[in-house]
Amino acid sequence: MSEEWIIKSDRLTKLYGQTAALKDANIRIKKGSIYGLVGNNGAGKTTFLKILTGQIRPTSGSFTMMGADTESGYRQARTKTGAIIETPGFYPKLTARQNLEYYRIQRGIPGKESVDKMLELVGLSDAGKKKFANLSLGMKQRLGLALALMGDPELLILDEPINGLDPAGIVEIRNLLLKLNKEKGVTILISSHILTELENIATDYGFLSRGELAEQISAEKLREKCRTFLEIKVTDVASYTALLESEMLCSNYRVLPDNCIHILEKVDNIADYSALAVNHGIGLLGFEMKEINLENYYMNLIGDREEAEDKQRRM
Amino acid sequence: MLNYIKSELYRISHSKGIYIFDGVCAGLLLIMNLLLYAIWKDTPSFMYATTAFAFNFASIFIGVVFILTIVMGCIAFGDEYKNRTIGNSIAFGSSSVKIYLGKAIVSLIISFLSLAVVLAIFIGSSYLLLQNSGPDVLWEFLQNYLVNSLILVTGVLATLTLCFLFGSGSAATWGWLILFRGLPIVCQLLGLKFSFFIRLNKWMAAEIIGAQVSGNVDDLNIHWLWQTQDGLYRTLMSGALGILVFLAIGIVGMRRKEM
Repeated sequence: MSEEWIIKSDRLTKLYGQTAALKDANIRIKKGSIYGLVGNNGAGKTTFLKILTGQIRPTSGSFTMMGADTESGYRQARTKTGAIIETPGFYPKLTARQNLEYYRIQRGIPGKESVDKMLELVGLSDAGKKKFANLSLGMKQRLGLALALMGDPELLILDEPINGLDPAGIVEIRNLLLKLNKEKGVTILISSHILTELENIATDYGFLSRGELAEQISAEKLREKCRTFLEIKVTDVASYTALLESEMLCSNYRVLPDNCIHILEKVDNIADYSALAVNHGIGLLGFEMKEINLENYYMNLIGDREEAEDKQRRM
Repeated sequence: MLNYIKSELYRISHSKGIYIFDGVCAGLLLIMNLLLYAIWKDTPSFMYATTAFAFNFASIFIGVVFILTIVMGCIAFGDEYKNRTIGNSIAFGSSSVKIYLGKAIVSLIISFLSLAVVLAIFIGSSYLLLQNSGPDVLWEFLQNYLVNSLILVTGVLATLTLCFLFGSGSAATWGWLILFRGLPIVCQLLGLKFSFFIRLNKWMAAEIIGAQVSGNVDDLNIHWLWQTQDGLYRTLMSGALGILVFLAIGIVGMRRKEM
């Protein structure tokens, strides 16, 4: 078994007809890390998680999971894995406790008390007797987490785990995941649309775009890369960017909606940029130094990539 | 596999479906016996308040029991796809074939237990309320169920297999009815022109189960198809082949299926 990677995929591809839901993805997840999988809808996040959890089979490529690279090996690895894929599935007419008990028996986890322990851990002690069908979305999500955590998994695969949770619930679950990672060394693979939430816990990121892995980076390296940038809003974007290129010799910028321009290269004298607009009769609507966060980084990365792909397709 | 079977038995025993189904079946048979008893008390010359009539009557309805195997298959299936619960089991290391086979075993266990409970209530109430026609009628009644048990098992497994392949109980029910009720009718019609279909139809479960050679329930002297050598052979072979065919379809189908 590889010392370092708990999950390692090589050119993993899943096709639905001619459409690639996942294309040549080489994803590496370190043991003991919290890996944030980031991507738009249809980027391939759930497809990747579904392959890992055995819901679907890859069309081509391969992957290892806890060192296993065969069907029976994957199944063995999955017994040490906790997972929630999309919305948690349970029997609607059984209570929360009965649903957990059902899976406890199925997974051969000893001790009936583990069910109550899990319900308590996710804050569902009082809802144990409620039928699953009568639980709120947040409660269902918590029950899904309880199921994933039952049996002390070595690896947690969580697809949008904070969907439907209230703010207090989000903080609670975040702290719980951090605790599991730090104290028990549980590796967590988590996908979320809420990037600020991922930013709070992830140690590594994988950015997926249109089924392809755009970038894989550690949180540390991302922080190094994340620097300040200048955000300018002007009345005439086309004229201003032309001036940027001709007079300031600036090429590292991005044009965003709402007449917004991000200047990503090092800015020595910010006054020059405002003067550029004013001196050429271009209205200055906004002018601010900002710091790149995960959301900005992702938007720039995916935006550039998709723009280049679209351009190539048109040619 | 054992853990999976245990968990399924836990789920089914903690759901109302099986109890409602058994209660309704046993209740209807009990009502029949109570009616016979009430008429007999009112009209002492009434000749049908006997265990012979009750058992013959229930034997004729084994065709209905065959259709009711759909319910057993659906209870065992538990709407796995709609509830998205099969995904959990796979994510925790069960293979889809193991899940299918586990459910198949569970469906047979619950079917056997349900049939045993319902028949016990029926037989018990028959002896309590009606005139005893002797042990032979009971033996023949039990033999009828025993001989046809393979066909009943086919019914349960066919439902379960269709549930897994089509993804829902309602689609599986339609598939079952087309296979076991529609197909024999088609064969009969085609048999008007092609004799092969008449021969084929003789092997259809629906044509075999509950089939009589002579007699009717009124004269209390029914000669069943399985009481002939050819009939017994066809009953057992049709059931055994049905089990093998549906198990094979289920295993191959589940190996290919993605969630």
